[in-house]
Amino acid sequence: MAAQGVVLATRALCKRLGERPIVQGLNLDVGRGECLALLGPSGAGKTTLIRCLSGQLPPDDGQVLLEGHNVDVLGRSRRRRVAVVFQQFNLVGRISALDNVLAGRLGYLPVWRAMLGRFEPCDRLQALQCLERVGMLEHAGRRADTLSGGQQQRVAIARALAQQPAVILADEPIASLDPVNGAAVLDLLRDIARTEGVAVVCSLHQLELAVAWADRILGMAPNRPAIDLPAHRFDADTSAHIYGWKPEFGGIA
Amino acid sequence: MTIRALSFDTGGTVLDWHGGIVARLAAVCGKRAAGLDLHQVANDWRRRAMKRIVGQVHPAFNMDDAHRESLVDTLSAHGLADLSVTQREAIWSVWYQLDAWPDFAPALAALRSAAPVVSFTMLPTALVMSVSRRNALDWDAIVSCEMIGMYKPHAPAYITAARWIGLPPQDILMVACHNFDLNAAHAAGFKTAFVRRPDEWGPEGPPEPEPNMDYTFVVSGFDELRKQVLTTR
Repeated sequence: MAAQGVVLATRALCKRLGERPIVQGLNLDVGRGECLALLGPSGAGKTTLIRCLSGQLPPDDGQVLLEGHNVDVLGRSRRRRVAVVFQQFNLVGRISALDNVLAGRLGYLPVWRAMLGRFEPCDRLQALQCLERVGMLEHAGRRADTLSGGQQQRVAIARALAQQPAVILADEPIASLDPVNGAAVLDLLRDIARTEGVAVVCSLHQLELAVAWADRILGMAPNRPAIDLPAHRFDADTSAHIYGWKPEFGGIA
Repeated sequence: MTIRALSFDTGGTVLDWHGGIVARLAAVCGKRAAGLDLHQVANDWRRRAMKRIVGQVHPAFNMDDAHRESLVDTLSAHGLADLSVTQREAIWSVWYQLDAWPDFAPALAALRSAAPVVSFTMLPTALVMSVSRRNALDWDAIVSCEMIGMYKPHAPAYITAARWIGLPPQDILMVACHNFDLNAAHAAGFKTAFVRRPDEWGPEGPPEPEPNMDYTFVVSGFDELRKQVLTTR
């Protein structure tokens, strides 16, 4: 799918983790409805890059732009346009799925209301619609810690959707899930990208899944420049660049 | 006896929630309703919503939210988990479109000619406004626990309602069909009237159809209430 309208971009982005460069001069454009996979071995800096893209870590040099605005100086109204999904779901276990999703609406409340957790009826309705979107409506009233891993990740995605994001950054969202649930979560993220026009950036370990899922892949390797290419052009040479070995395609674990 | 104002519980006492909800469930569920006991679904929803709201102190939600959210578990418990949010909203909104018991509007008009009458309710203000307009119920005021921030049966809810009505509790007659409400009103100093509503819960019948203490009045309908109050006053 061709990227239409860039929502997330980096310009000459440089980020080091300690002394080690993660990205050097990265220019990246992610469009509306586009799925970008971050691929690379452990230690390549995928999580650091995601934290940098979300504004949780400042760049050492260069810029991260969300809808044209520097992520460093995003106000509350723009910051809510970036949603993050985590490997460990990061739900509050002892409250309901619905209340977890409502947390995604906090960025839309006046600060005093947010501090008291006083949501408007439209926020509650929207939270239910987000749970419906991820197939979890019937479990809205259940405590998050009684849900399976796959269900929890769906609730976390519903919470992300409640932010009405332009971008969802997913950091290893399927690493804690079995293959069936993992594939279902990736399908859901892609479907959200396609139908809602959200740009999805997702770090993954599984090469074959990434190639099948993504429109584009950013291959990251320790101490090497990142490579950015369409998923269908990912081949054994690219893999060798990232992982240092050439896999037999079709037999990659 | 001095009765200078009356306050009416509204949800269960004035409104036929059971009948309204059953009809709406039937309309939304269509053919699927055939295999279900919709009376049971309606009552289950009511119980779950009441459990959420009764006794709340400054909650971050109101009865609308309690209705909306308790509907989720209710539908799941009755094999209706796949209803969409749109269908759920259609069910939820029936609360804004309920009918009052037919004997209420005439009694209200007659009582108001003698004394102020207010709705004193756990339902949201907007909801009572909606059903009041729909059923041509003219109150002197609506006092929602949502406004007070303290829900029945907490004593401060009753004390505050009396203060807002501008009278000492002993000059106000609290009218309801539920013992928990009247017990609390009595404890707060109100005079009390128990109105039997045998159909409130549909065929199942009310959990407590009879008074559990000595109230000022015990009546079988609003017409009887009107007569007794207006003659003893």
